[in-house]
Amino acid sequence: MTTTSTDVSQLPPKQKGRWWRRWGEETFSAYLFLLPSLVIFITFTFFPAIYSMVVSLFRWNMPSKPFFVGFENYIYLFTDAIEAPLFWKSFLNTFYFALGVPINLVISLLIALLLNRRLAGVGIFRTTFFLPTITSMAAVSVVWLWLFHPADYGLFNSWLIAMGIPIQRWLRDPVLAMPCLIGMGVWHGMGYNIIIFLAGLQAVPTTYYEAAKIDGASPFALFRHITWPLLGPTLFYVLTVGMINSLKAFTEIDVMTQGGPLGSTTTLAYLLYQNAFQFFQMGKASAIAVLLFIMLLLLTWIQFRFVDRKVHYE
Amino acid sequence: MMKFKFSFIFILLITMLLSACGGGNETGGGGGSIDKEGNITLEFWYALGGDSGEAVKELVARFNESQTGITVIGTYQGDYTTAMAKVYSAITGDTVPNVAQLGGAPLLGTSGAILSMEEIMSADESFDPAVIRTAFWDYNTAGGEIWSMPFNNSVPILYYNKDLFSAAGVDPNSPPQNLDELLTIAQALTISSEASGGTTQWGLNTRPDTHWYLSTLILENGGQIVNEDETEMLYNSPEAVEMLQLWSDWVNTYKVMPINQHEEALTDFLAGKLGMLIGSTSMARSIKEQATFDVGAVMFPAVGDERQVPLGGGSLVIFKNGDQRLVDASWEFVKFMVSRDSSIFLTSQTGYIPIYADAMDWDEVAGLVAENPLRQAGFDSLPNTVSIPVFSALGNSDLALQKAVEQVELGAATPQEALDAAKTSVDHAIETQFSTE
Repeated sequence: MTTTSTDVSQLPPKQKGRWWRRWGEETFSAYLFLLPSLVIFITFTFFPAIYSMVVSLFRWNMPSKPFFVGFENYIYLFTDAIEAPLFWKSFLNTFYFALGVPINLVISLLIALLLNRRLAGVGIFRTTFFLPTITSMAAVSVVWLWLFHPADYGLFNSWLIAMGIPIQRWLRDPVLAMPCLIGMGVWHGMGYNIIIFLAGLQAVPTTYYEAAKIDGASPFALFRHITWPLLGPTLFYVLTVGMINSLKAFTEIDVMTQGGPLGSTTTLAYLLYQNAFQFFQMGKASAIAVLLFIMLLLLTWIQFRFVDRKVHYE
Repeated sequence: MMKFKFSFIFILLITMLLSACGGGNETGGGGGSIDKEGNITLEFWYALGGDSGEAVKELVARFNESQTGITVIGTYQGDYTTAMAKVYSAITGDTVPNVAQLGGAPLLGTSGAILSMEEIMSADESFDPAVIRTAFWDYNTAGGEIWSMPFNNSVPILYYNKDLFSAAGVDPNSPPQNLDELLTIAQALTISSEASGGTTQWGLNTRPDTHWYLSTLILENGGQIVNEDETEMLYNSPEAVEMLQLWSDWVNTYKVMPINQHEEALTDFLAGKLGMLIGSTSMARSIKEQATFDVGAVMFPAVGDERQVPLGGGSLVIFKNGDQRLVDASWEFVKFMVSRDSSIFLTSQTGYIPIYADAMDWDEVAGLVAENPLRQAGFDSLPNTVSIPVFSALGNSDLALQKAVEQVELGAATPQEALDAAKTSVDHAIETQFSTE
């Protein structure tokens, strides 16, 4: 509200009156309308974020009094013989899990290209691909637990038996668990990306294609030189949002593997949850949260700095 | 000008909304309220869902009908972990209820948010603690003080599929009594088929809370979980390592138990793919209802002749409150919840075991066994119930033991290595996270 101190004499004569009138009723109203969401943002997002930075400097088992320890929690996470390996393993797992994002991107782009054609019954296909996305992750996870059942009567294992391949332990196998989660994540998230891509594809003017076709361009050249560059902003959006969501993934891990087996699916977000709500070590959990926040910040910055430049905006 | 007035009203509304959110508690610390006529309303949080949750609801309704002047409002707060997280948040935000039913309840003793159950009990002559088994009091003690009231308790038992026993040529009426018999029968029950790519029927498995079952084996073998000062874990002792080695042999040598398949154990058992399932008595009712085969239950197998079954389950705590009348009302409610009739009702609706020392002589309890014979195994276990000490890093310890079991089953560590690592990590947690120096 610093505008109140502005010297009245410097303002154009027609803006005489009380400060809110000078400021402009519309601007004022605009801020008023923004206020509710701003209040919610500050109370439930901004304040907790700052608060967790403060808590990360304390040793705090929720009901007891917090105890200031400086950077002890961070030092443990980086150097301690027990904590550090767990932290770095979760750090790597986080990026392993994020591999699902580019995989998802490629598959959903391919499907979007197919769905963008004028085919009979294309609406049915579009709905079918979108269905998993609107189903709750918790429900989906429970169903996939059944599909991934490690015994011979699990659905996937019964297919393997039919094909004469040895049965697999899927989510209960330290090597296979993460690929299983990624696979399910791709299936679940695909629909959303397809819709975004379809919107992007339909925004490409058909005149470009017509002109290129007259010049004798091949279908691949059409994609390479028209579709791909014009889809740039969409791709960039899908990549950024997908990355952030992947780093925050929690439900499927909690329902399907609880971070196991042998910690092979413990991502930073899950390590944070374990420390906060299973061990009630809020300081350590907050330290992980702060590190995750810094990682996200860096990643988003890199994406804007390097990827954004290559994106063509119309 | 109209537009401006509109925005003005808008901002006014927001301010009102915010001040309403930030409104303090008028009772001066603690939940519950008393109206002008002196009628008391208590808040009660509980952590039991399904059939058990329905039983708790019914008990609350019965209490409300049994007297005038006190109305209890029960709210389900999610499973033990979720409910405890909510209680911790409530303590931090000063919005605690009056009474709560929780797992690991005595841990709240150090928080300063709950009242000592021991003090409340000793002030009321009408309540005799001796009627309840000692182990149940141990289960509710932390730092030498009883902080909570035993309510719903369970012990590990062994469920078995009688049809599969018969098919394997094992007498369905002589289930395993000790570890040797357990292995012999498990081997008889395990069936492999090349066409199906391996084992199609397993002899033995446990539910996912493997720390509980491993702890039972360790205690029966003469080992201990934690030292008396509760500063150091003792489960890398030879007694403990021997038991985890045996567990490893079930999986990797005799191959009677599937590798790391505890999450699916109940499904496998109900599908008739698993002969014997180690799990909590609390499932006695649901297993009986869901099984499509003849199912039996027996006490957790002894090590030699030694039987020691550590209690699980939840307890009731009373939170501190600025108004003594609310505390007194809370105690009345707690007394009702653990009364003889309530205890029988809870047992009848669930698989929980009675907390009373002489419950086995009651006609009602005998009737419950007749109704569901699976209950017998839990009742038989009563004289052997013990309690694992409740210490600060119990949550870490449970997960560390589960991890050790997982490592050994998957061949990632030897039993000695796995238990050494578990001990080191929990000791470390006690030292670094739970000390306030």
